[in-house]
Amino acid sequence: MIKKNTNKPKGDAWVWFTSLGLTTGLVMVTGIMIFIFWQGIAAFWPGNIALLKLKDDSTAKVNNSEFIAGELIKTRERFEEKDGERYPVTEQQYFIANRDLYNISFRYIDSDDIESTEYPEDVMILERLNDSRAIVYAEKLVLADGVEILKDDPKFYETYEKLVHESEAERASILKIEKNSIAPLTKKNLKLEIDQYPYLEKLRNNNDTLKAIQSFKSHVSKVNSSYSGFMAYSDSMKEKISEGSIKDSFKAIKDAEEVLMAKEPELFKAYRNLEVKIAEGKIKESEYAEESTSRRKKILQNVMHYSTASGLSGKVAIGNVIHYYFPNQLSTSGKLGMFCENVWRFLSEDPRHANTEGGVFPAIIGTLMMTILMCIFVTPFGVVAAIFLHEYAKQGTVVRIVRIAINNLAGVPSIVYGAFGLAFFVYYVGGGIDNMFFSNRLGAQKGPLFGTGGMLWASLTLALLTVPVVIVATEEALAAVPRGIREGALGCGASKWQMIKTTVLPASAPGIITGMILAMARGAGEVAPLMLVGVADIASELPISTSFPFGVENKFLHLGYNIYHVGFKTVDSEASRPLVFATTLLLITIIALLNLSGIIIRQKLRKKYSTGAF
Amino acid sequence: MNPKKYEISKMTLFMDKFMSRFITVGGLSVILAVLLILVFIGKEVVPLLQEAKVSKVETIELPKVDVQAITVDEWTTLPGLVSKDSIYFIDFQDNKKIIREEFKRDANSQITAVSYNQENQAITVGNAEGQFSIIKINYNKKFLDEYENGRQLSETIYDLKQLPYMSLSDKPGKIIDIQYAETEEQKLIAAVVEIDSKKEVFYVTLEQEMDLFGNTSGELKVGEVVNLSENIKGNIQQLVLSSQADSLIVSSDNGKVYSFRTSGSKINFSQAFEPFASEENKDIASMNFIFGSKTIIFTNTKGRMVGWSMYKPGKDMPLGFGLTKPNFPDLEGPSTFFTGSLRNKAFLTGSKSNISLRYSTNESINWQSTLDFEVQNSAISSKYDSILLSDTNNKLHIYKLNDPHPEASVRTYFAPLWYEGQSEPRYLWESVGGTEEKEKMLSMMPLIFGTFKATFYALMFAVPIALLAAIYTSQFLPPSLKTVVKPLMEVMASLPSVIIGFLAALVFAPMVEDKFPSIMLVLLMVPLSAIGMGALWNNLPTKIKFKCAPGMEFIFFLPVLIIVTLIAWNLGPIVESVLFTVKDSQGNEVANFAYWWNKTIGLEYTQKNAMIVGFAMGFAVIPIIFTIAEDSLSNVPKSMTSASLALGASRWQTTWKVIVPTASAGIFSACMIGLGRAVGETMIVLCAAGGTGIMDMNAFNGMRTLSLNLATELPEAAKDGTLYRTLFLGALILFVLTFVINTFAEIIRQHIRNKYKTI
Repeated sequence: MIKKNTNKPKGDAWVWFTSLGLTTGLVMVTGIMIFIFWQGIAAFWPGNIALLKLKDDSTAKVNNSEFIAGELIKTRERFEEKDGERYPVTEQQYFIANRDLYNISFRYIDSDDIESTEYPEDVMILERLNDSRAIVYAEKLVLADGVEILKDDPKFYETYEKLVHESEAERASILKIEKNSIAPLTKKNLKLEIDQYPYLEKLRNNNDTLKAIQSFKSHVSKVNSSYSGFMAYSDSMKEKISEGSIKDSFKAIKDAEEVLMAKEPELFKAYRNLEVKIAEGKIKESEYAEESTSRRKKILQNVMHYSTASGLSGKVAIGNVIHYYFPNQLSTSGKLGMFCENVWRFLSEDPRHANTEGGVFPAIIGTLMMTILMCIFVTPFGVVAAIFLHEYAKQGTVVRIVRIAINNLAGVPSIVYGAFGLAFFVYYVGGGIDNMFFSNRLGAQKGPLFGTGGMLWASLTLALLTVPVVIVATEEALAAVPRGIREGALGCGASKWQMIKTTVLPASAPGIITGMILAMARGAGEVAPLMLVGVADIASELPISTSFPFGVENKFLHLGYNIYHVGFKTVDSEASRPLVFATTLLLITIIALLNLSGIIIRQKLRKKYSTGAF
Repeated sequence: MNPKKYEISKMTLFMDKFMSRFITVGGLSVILAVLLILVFIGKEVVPLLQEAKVSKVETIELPKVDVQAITVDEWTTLPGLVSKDSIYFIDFQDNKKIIREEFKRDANSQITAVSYNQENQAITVGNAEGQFSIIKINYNKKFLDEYENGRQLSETIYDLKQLPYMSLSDKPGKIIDIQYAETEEQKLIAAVVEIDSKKEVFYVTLEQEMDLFGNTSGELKVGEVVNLSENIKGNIQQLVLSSQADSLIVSSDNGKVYSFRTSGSKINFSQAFEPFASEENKDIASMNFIFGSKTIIFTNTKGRMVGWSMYKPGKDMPLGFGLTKPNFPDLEGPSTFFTGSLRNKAFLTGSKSNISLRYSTNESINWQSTLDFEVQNSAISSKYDSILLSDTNNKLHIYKLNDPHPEASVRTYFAPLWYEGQSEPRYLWESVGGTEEKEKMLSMMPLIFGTFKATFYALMFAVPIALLAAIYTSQFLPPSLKTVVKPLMEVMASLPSVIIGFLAALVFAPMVEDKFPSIMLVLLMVPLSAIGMGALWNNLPTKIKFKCAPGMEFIFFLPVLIIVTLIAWNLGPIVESVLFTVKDSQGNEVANFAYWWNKTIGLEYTQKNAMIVGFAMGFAVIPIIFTIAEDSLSNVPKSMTSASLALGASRWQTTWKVIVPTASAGIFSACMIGLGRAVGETMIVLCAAGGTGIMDMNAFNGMRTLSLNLATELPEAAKDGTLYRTLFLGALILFVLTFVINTFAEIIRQHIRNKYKTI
């Protein structure tokens, strides 16, 4: 008897079971991508501000007021136990801002507690320079000359807008003074102080002058604390001032000068000249500083008074208003415009308020600079090592072992590279450079230059971390070049190097570039080692500069670290979460772009050199 | 014909030669540089395990003095030798000039006991009339230049201040042993007095009058005097008073010691114990507190050494001494001198000319030697950088001590240690915080354990998904789809781990915090639904079955997955109320898994836990395992598949019985590489693991991994300090661990590649 074909292949149920793995994996990857994309986009979208009227017995009241205004963040269900029974309660989370007044940024409100909801047109969102966001109603403007403009005055918004614009321009020009005039002076003075050190050291090492120079130095610093730049004053001026409180110090300085001039005139003259130059610099610096403070004061004189929905009132100097808008007045296209503006401001502005507000421009620059520097370091070394391994080294057990070792280095945790970078690059190499070339700086106690974390060490550490990736990729690309090409080239009389240069390298270029880009993508996303070798929480200077050492010694901001720092280490991390999501989206976009460009370049090159293959 | 025409251009030859050299040298140096990482990290670790270096600086002839104690300042510039009637300072700043300062004493009475407390810098003398006096030594560093410190512009000076004699008790007797200790609140004297040829122990508090403003001023006066002799059986031998002035230990000749604890101005008998209860020789030769006064080191007359520390044997039991350090190596004979460091738990002791520097926490010997003289007394400078020894021939020997990492030893890192105050020997990591006296806990074990715990949970989640996906993708998925699906899975690998960590800790963890039953149901129901779906599909009529081409199952499964997940998620609270209901303190029934877990199982439940880490690390590990496993499954020769199918096996039978066994080694190596990645993952654990170094496998508790430890503590660690080097030891372990795992996996892979070549 022939058994009937049941048409049921054995074990097909298990095929379904295995499909579970793939489906889950795909759901995970698409899910996380969509989630990040959605949250990242939502961070820029201006939401409406709801004004809620709460029931009398609501526990969600702020300042015991029945009104509360905020942006709806999410709605969720929670279970409440009452009399042994569970029943669901719907609650809504609102972003109520005004942390400076309320001490909280978010509030959960039970839906049942809300009596009514409206969207008042005149509610204003205020972004401030040194504070978190505020949701307010404007009350009045108090100008510098004492004129008050009430909210109902038709001129109110016009004046307000004009003032905000003016102060924005003023802030920019003050910043210019600080960046272009004060910062270089500070730098110059630092250099002078360092130059001064060797003279000081020599004078100190001489027993005759030790006490005098010590006294000179300490009294000059005493005098400087009340009269900045005293040493640069004219003699008559000095005499005039020295009648007062600094009489003793002035005399001590004169005595010390006499002793020093008698014992070591050459050394002391050089030292004193530098001291005068430093004093001149300080005078100039304080002039600029005065200008910037007085101008800043001016824009802080105009004040806007406001009140919040919950009845608290506050005021803000117009000079501290970064940005304001009326979310409930915006139409959809207006919101779209605002969205684009927000994106632009996120990309182009500096961070404010301990990184929890503002943009990420320095972090973008830091990330890109680091990645590019890393690429510059890693590519030549990686390629040379790979060419050596594949073309020059005698293939045998040793090379095989080396190859396995290098392959495995790619799997060594990045934090270990970070630790190595700290010990080797920062402390050993950087500390060594400082000791050798910048010993005056160390002596003058101006802090290490290279002996501390910075852009250079971070990119070198990452280069070391990614060099196995480049070596492996390059070797693979070299191995893929057909033997025929090599033999053809050699057959035509090319030397080994000519063969490599003219045939092998061009043919393997796509592979090499892929390796490079893969390394960049990996490097851009690494955070752990950077925490040890150069990333900063808040950086004042960009890691680019026109003067030596070109800013590579500076610590820098990094997008990935920014995510960690703002997400976990700031006080009100929940309020800045949209910013973190936006940063996340940006970082992923950068990495995706890198990967994509790698693929495109590879394909273009492949086409170009495809004729070269047999 | 010009033969030159056929010659190779010099330039070409030169370039070729140059490039060969250049590439060889360059390539070799890059490879060497990369491999040097291991060497360099090792170099950072090595000093940890080195012995202390002790080198002789000089020997100084002394006047004939019966040295009772040695005092030394922080900079070893003005050591002093305390004898029974005076102190001899040796001024190193002034050509080793010897300055004698005599103690004041009553004309007709002899000083019979002297002791020196280095921590309080006080000498105490007692005389035959039962009177005592305290002499305070103040070492001062005077800076000649008040703005720049550090340079050699300073001089050390001493200042002696002797307080007037006070009577110990009404009954006069000869003081034969006296000790003094002070804290901010309290000043104490403990003394052994011979009254009518019977030794008695006295405990005396010293009181100081306070002025109107609450400042202590005026003369010290004897306050309370307590005779403790009645608590002590046998003949009193020695006594030690802790520098914290909180406990007094008296030994007697029956081998027992009696401990007293002070509280306020009261003193209470607390415990009598036998330090060498289990030894044949029970006689106590010496006993001394070490820094922090939580541990006493005893030696017996045979040279056996043990340490007893203060600890709580159980939760509600009182503090008491227990034999916590029984593993000290023996001395050559009874200890004849003893000095504790004032920086750490090191102490210097020995018998006659044998000397050893030991560390209490890990019971190790940091340095030992046999000297060519007999040591009488010793001192360690408070900076722990020099040793002073006086010998029986009136010489003072000064040694330079270089022991940068006294607390480091193999036992410190890998053995359970009985730290002071703990109720049992434990593996603990606590490198920062606490006072100077607190022992630094530097065990690597909780970190290694935490690393493997995180890895375990990550692989638990990642391996099944990755392998199933790899099998499906390589065997059942149409090749055209494979080119889309594979890169999509690999996108996951390029997600920076800081992003995954951030999402896991701040989005996922709060979301699932109180939803554990739901998750469990999802984990249970989804695989079941997959099998169920398969069984159902198998039994459907062929007509319908043809609607789904083979290899498209995963798309059909998607809606099922979503629906089942949603159902399981919402069923969670119901299951919770049925299974995990527990009565709270008020007697109400509460259906809460976290509470239930804590109450019923007794383990902790925290928001950032191993489960979250495992899930998050899945994102990092799944693509790696998937890619490599898929490769090795795809590389199984097509001929084997064809043969199996031709013999009538179904596609599942072919996969399960032929392909998977053939590729098993490759799959294994994929898992190993995934393991390597999980071991070293930093940002995810930093964000989502909590960071407490507890050693339990509880899935609902956090952990501290080696990588997390490095990331949080290395930026703050002082360069070349013990913590810094210990952290590098962690880095080395991590390096070696991943390197070994990866090499193992790589060798397996190469082995398979060779095997397939023959098929």
